[in-house]
Amino acid sequence: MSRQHRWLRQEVARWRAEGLVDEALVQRLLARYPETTERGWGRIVLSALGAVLVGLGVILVFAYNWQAIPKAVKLALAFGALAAAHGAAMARDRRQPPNRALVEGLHALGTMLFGAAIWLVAQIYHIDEHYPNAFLVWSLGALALAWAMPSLVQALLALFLVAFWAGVEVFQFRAAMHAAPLLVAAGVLPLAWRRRSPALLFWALAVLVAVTAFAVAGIDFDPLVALLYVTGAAILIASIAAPETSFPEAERPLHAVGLFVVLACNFVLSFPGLAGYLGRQHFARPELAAYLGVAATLFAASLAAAAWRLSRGGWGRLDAYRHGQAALIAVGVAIVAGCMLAHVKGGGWAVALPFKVIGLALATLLILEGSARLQPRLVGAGCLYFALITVSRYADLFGSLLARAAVFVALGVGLFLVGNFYARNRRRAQQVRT
Amino acid sequence: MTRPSARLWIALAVTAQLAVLASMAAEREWIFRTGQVVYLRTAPVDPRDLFRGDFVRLQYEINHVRPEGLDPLLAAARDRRRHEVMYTRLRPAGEGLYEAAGAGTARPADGPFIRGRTEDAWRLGWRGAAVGAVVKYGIEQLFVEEGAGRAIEERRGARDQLQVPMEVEVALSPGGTAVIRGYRWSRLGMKLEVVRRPEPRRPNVPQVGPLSPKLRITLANASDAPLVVVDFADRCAFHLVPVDWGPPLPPPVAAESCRTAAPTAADLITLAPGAAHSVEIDLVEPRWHVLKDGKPVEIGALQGFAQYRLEYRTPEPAAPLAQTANLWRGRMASQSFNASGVVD
Repeated sequence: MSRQHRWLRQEVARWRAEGLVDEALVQRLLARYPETTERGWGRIVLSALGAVLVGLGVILVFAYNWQAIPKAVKLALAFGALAAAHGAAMARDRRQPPNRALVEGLHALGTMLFGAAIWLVAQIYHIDEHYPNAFLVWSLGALALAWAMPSLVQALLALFLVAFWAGVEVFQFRAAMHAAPLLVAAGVLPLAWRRRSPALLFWALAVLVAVTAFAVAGIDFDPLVALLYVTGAAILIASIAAPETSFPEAERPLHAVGLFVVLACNFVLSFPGLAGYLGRQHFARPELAAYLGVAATLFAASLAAAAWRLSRGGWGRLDAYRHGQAALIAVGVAIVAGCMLAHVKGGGWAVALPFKVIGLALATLLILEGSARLQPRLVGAGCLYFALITVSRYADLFGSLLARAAVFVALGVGLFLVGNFYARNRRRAQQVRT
Repeated sequence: MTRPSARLWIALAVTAQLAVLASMAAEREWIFRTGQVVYLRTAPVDPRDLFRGDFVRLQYEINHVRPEGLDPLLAAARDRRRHEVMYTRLRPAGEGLYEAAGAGTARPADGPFIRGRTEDAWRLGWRGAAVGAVVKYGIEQLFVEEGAGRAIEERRGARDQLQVPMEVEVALSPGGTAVIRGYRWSRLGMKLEVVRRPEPRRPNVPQVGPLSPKLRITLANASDAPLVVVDFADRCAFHLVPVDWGPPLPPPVAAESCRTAAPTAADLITLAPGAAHSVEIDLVEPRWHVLKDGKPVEIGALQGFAQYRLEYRTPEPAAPLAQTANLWRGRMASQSFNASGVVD
């Protein structure tokens, strides 16, 4: 049980005892915040790490490549170890009391051994094929188990392997792997939704954005920032509608990933030289047109979902910060689309300046929202963006050392004020609580 | 505890993992046992794989398909994809070895062929001249026991030593997929030495003395049984071969003295195990000139960084060679060298 759920149960029990709520309302409240089956991150990380280390150890044992071991024995060892790990996990799963961590760990070890066995078979037969394919096959093995169990560890392993596969293909072999985004979108995102797992949703979205970027970069770098801007905007705006769905916890991962992507792209586009890339011809290749079409469709769908959520009402004062962010980002997407459709060449400051303003406004809204909601990650993200803008413009924006010094002093004072503002809000919240 | 229906799915997922491995192993094992066996000559280098002990990286002669070996339509193409499937046709080259007879993207109807993929974007030499394709066949790694890779390197021989090529035994499936079955060592070793280097070239200063190097080629018996090699007439078993990294180099002049010459029984040299036969070849002599702009010149008169090899070839089977026991039949090329006498 998570810390939040433990707190909720204690509080609800107190309210029930004090007669503030009746039993029916207690049940409704508890049902509103269902517990996910995720275990603590520490246990997940430890069991996965243990499996990874054991798997690497087995690979190194085989690395001796002792010639005296007959080929059949080597194959039997590889197949046997894999079957034994999974078999032990399945046998333990039938016994009482249940030990989910051990079962997960043994299955994770089995999937690690599956990866080791792919390389061992390659070694036995001296296979020197296109090696990234092994990572794809390995990830599919992990993904199959992630669905069958279902398992967060297996899904994370599959995500890591897909990202590695797509990354190696594009950076070492200059090949765009369009199957990678499809695999994550169709293979992992539905699992995250089905399991109501914010952690898996977060990593699936992050890897989806990364492998999409790899695939687009494998074709052409020019439209990359524009595509990511629209994709990040779609993800962030979708977070507005998330609380009305059957998976309200999706709001946080959607907002976190979307925000990171949009801020990064916004930062890039705030440079006149880089903003000029927006006007280049992006629709010449059908694959690029397809990516841009999908991103634009997702963005439109997110906008529609957010509008639906707003039309239903019931949103609080604090939600206005989120809506403000969405409005700013929608303006950014409009500028991106305008530059692309009008083939604006060069652009320079005329394009970069609006993105600079949008970025600073976004950072301000994040600080305000983070202070109001008492979420330090939002405050930190806003401050970090301010600091990055200041540092990156150190050399070319300010004419004199005095101006640079003034801006740095202003940044320092600003951060100091933000810290105080956040601390004051926190004190107030504590006073209200007591 | 997991639900029974979920247990079934888990069992299916585990079975799928095992099936993938089994299919990988079964396909290779089938080729290993039933495929057509050929030998391919290599020049190994020895890296080390942290996770898999030692492996010897193998570079085959057929990895580089020369432009004249490519199908005509392909040779003209400029915008080829990387990792394009290629089929390299093989033909016997003596001693059980096979060499590339040509390559293309269409699967040959018959004959031994090996399936590979282009390693790089198709290489274009200087001024856009096609210099062929680099093709990998999935057999470029030979995994050996930890520490054995170094021993293989030593047997192969270093730059200034006798070099004995490794010949890899490969099984080919009907579709051209190759599986390494083992390896052996060539019965014949070769050593290249520079006996005399020309004076270094200096800008705007006429070169004094010979322009081209004098080389010594040694053929050595690297087997455990007597071996016969041929050295006849005007060193007619040896040939100067251009190494084309860019535009084609001037071809060697066909030696008049070798056109009609044929080996006799006196030209057969029997080498006991470990014994060697050396010849000196002075590239200044007209016998080794190349044809530049219609004129024979020595390679030292060429501009740029022209590289050549000396290749030993057993003459076509004719009496008395046809009946000779222990005759080494094939061709073997030396390391490449340039006109300054620098050996690669």
